[in-house]
Amino acid sequence: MQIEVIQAGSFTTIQDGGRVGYAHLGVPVSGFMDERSAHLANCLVGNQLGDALLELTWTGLEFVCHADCSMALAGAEFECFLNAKPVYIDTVIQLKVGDHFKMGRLLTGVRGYMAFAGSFDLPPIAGSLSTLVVAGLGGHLGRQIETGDLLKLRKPSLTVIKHLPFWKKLKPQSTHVIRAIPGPEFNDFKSAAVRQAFGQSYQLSHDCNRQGFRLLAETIESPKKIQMVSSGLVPGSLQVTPDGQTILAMRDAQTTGGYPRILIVNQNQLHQIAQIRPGENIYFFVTHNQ
Amino acid sequence: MISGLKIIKMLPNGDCGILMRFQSDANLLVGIHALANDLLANPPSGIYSKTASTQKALAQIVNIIPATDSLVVVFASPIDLKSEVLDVFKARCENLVVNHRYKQVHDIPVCYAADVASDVQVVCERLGLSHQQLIDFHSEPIYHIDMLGFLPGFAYLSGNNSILNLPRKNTPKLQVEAGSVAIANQHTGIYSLSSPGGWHVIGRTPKQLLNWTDQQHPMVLNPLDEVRFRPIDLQEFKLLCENHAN
Repeated sequence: MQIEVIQAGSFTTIQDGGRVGYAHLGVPVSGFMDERSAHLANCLVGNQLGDALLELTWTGLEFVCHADCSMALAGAEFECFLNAKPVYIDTVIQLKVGDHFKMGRLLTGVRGYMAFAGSFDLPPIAGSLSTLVVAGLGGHLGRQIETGDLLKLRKPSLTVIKHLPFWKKLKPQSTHVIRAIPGPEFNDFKSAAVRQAFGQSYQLSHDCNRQGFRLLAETIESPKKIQMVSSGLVPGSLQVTPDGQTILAMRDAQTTGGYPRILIVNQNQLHQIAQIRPGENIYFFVTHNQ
Repeated sequence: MISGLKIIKMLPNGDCGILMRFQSDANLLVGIHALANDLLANPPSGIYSKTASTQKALAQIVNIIPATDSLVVVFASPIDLKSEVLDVFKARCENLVVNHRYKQVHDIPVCYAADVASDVQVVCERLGLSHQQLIDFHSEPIYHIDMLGFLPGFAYLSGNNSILNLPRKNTPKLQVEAGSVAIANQHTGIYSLSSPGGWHVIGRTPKQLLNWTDQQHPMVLNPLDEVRFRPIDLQEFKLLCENHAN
């Protein structure tokens, strides 16, 4: 009934569709960074789209399966080996008791999604299994997966898939165009600062985690207003700090923020941002939908 | 009592969210939290709209985020800020009745000893206060909980003595212990969970402030409640910690 983790990878957490309805208590929404890939992995093994799975960051997982269970991978692509033999991963992988699965080199993207048929047997916190590491909340003991962990599956089963869903695999690309709309404070910025912010390219820095991505670009002149009162913050908000740096809020971001937001990424683009690598360039395509 | 809450501005907060700002009013905070509670209890689903996308968005609210002068509503799908959306929320404000909810007064024991409050000595030095003066100034007022934010159960309290005004730290500390009582600008904050933090920790409470087994009301401290800090010594702090552990 269990997955025995042999090598946990650098940052592997349990995530699901997110912890919704608790932001008024200061609880971030969390959940899949790349929702589309997570949905695809769940779909392949016959789970509900929002079921809990493993989100792998930069490095893969090595484990022994102690149940007969279907597994699927989506998102970032890794070299994979089943019982030391290379295995084709663009499909459902049928694991048998005692099978050894190992992931090697990362080929594309950043975050991989590994779904098991029947998902995990864990207690939900505030209606969700998503791990919020910074608060020690949810998932497996409120923390990232560690080597030696035993993960209990809820209803492991072998699923039969008749038609593989069509999907576009991640392609390596060095420039990303992300749709966005002006942020609630964009009128507080000087028009030259807005033109600059909407036109220039940003480079993803190495400081990028589930809470937020620091972007590198020409500094943007922050509004002169001395202190802004904090208000509700959503993932995808591009916040400008007093020294002109930019931080893009992601899924574990705090629920309220006090930095002016010059633009906010459309929610259906967040999955794309989750797979951008440090050093790659981002342009924001800002439309005024008013 | 009718809240008197008036929306003066409604802005997009991302393609799936809206941010409302309100006319300032002596009861603004009470009104905002009343609106938040009203929307949480009765989401505006089933509202008829000529636009299918608006109807769909209104039917599925993901989160409601009240703050000190604004309220954010996040929907599961994109919403166009048409006048009919503004009308929906304007109507909610007009008919909003503030229930005189029993305002809880929390008696929070706080140990101000340097052993459990990492920044207390530095804060005393920077403010030119003795340790006892700091304790007196901080434990004297009755505080109001303005909002919960930042991280689960982090409470923003107003009511600080203006003598205790310090800006936030330039570099946040990676680990602030659960129960830490900290100050920054005109606020006192209480960390319900261990987490990184940029506020100056001047005390710690042994009181458990989070209880996830009660999924409806997991937080001990809630907006609009009042807080009184009761100074305790290290011995009592340890005793109370042990009692909670058992």
